[in-house]
Amino acid sequence: MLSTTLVRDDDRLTPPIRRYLRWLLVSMSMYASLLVTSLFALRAIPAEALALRAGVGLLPVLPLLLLVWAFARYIREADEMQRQIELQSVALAAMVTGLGFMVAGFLASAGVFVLKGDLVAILVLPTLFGSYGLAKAVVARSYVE
Amino acid sequence: MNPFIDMVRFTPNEKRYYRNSIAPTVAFLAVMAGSAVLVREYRDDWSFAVLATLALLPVLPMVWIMKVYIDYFRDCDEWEKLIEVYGIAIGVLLVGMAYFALGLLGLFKLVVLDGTLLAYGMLPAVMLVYTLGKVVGRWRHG
Repeated sequence: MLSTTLVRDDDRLTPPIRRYLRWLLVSMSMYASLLVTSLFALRAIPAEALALRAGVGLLPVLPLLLLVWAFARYIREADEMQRQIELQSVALAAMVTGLGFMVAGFLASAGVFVLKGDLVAILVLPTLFGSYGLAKAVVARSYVE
Repeated sequence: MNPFIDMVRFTPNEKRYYRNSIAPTVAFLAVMAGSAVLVREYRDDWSFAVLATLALLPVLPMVWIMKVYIDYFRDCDEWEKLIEVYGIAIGVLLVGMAYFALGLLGLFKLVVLDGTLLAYGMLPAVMLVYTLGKVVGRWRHG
């Protein structure tokens, strides 16, 4: 039943979702290769060249910008119901993720555990993507039922 | 239609939302301040479970704030709902990207990041950028 948000009645992917999945594949491949490249490149760049290190370190952000653009295009091209489901899922995921990180912040400030800054910052986007997937299942079900 | 001016022209539903938000926001600030003071004062005297419970107390008014927002969202018409979720989507994507960029810089030891501050700051950051997203949504779908 959930798949009705992504596919036509004849079980084929709609053109917008197909285009989006293609860009998702491209951007994720680029992300993986740029991440590995920047990791290796940073070993060779001296610590004094801070601007260069920052530029190389931020390289993996570029394919994620491409992914955000592809998602925005998909939202624009999707029909009304698809758009509602996608946007409501992102909104629900944002609330859950935001609340989750806030809980972690409260616990860390009470000394329950120590939060590493870089880990927290890196984890926000993957947590958001994961909770978006779960939220989409919930929201799509409410539309289908 | 001007999306910037429309941001400050409130519908009855929006007025009700802002009115209903006052109590949970005040409660959040009070509980937050209270729990911060208590945890700092009695960090060495009270048990771990008590400290963790105290630290989590501000989550309750935060859930109340979200409940008020969800009630407001339910009373929005279709167009208003679209603008709301547009705002949240743009807010969360921008903040997520900014956090990710910061995380990369931290991971490669180019900046020093405070994990607690970042975890605290995520939700308020999304709420701030959400306003910008609403302007964009009104401009695109006005």
